[in-house]
Amino acid sequence: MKLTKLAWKNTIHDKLGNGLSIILIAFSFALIVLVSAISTQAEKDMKRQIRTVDMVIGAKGSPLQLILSAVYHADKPTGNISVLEARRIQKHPLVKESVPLSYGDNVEGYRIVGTTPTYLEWYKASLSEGEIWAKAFEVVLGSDVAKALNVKVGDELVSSHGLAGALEQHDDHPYVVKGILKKSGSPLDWLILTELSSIWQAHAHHAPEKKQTTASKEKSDDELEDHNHAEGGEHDHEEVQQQAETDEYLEDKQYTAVLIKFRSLAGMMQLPRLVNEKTNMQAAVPQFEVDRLFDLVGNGAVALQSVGVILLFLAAISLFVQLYRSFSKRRYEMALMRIYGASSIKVSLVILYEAILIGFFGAFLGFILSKIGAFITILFPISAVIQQTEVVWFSGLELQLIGAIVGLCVLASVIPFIQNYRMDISRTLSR
Amino acid sequence: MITVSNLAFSYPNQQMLSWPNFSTKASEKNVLVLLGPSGCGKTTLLHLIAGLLKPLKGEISVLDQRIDQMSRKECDAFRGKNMGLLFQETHYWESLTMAENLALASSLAGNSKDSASILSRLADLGIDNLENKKPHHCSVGERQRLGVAMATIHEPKIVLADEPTSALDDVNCTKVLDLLENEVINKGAFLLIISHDKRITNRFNNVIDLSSAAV
Repeated sequence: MKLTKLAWKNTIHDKLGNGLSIILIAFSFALIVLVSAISTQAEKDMKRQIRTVDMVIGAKGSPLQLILSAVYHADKPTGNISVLEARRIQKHPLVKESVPLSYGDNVEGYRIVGTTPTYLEWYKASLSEGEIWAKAFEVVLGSDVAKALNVKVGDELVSSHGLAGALEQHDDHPYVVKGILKKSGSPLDWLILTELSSIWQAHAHHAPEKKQTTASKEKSDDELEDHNHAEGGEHDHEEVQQQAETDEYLEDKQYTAVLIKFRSLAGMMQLPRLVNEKTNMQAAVPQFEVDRLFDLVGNGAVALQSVGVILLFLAAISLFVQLYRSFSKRRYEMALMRIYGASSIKVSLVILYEAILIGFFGAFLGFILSKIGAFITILFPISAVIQQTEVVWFSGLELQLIGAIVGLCVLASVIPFIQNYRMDISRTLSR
Repeated sequence: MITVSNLAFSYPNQQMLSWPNFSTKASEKNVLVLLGPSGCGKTTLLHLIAGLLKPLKGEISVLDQRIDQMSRKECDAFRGKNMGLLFQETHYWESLTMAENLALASSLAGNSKDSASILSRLADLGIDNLENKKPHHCSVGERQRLGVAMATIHEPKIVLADEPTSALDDVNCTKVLDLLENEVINKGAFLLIISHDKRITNRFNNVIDLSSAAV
């Protein structure tokens, strides 16, 4: 019989004592790996989503809030900006492409975002069924929204004012579902997308009176009539766009934010400063803000991982106590091995093997737990922004952790190992 | 086989122990009983012969080898190969079954036995039905048999028995002595028993009385 078999038998014999050490090791392993996986995935996801956006312009306020609200749709917007003022930046020669966003309503908590079809192109979103909106009050749903609301193409949705809950329902402006997007792993999955004018018309009565000129009001009413008329299929999206181009029409219209893509790096150097210094709007660069966010979030992740490391040290102490207790209890057994001719070092190795076995069991259980945790975060995402999309089966961190655990287990076995090595067999057997 | 001369030993801060010289070479039978009252150093003497302790002075030869001059490692290997030890209370590995205990004992002694040999050994002692039971689930008598099996599984030349019968009643005492006679003496190994139990001297007449040992 090999000594490793004896170590294995000893390990499974004392289920309670060794089980506690194994559980502590497993939980610390799982916590460290899971927190690391989630924060890495979150950073990767968030950075992937800003790859297409160089700058965001919106109302003055917190730049991070602007990015979170306009890019990730995970925060309240900083306010609204004048369409005419925003257009001056959109038409700047350094701007390659831009996507205006206007939002302020929801359907059962899912944001309705007025935008242009370019928004879908930026995120390479494609339709799983139906078609894109052609006129106001037609919507395309993100895959998660369609699933959550259990709606299909042709269904009608009634929106509520605000970004969450049902404060005031817009019963007079139901939205018709025209298409459903394929899952893209982007914020679009959680959005209801529509023509910009849908949002403006739905909020026509909320516009400030001083800006709601008679002309524009008439236009708005006419527009609604037109759209009602259009439901009969007599005019199309292009007409709305042409109509939207007139300054008079746009005078009182507002965007919530505009996503900008630059032609070159020169845009990054000049435009944010230009917007922040020369306009009533604010410009925020997603890359800077996300880095700043992860400096903050990173501290939280480090704090959580520190808890894991503390747990790991507690596990090592528990293992030391367990090995010491077990060795004291089994002194006769160790002495017996010497009686049968085993050398001191050979006998002491049994203790070391037991420590390593406990470490491996703990790490293995922790590995399983961390993967179960990863699956749970995929099934139940932490937020719309941080969506775990894949399970990393084995990473360098896990390898390092296994090494650290085995190292700690070896360390925990040092004192029992030395005591065993120096054991006086005669005295032990005479007790 | 075993020769002891001018032997003395002392535990720290305790009085010196010494024993009379003796040699088993002249023994006609393969058995020697060292008889003596409690406290005369019987177990210490057995530990000295087994190489578990180093004498303060004197010589101990076992199988013509000076065990008192061996290093700890040499001593462990020599003991494992040539000696079997039997205790008043059977020592065993708690996590292992009866058969596994025997397998480990033989493997550590460098004379690994296959499972058939182990089962056959257990059968010789009438405990083959307990093959997969753990010793702490067996009776004292069954464990004592396991002790004899473990002390002899590696076919040692010498078996040292420390008070093997002192905790047993007459019936069980006879059973253990029968077992030792059959499994050790009749198989050609030498049996050295230390005891204060007169029932043993009634059975074996090759006895040295240690009560004359100077304390």
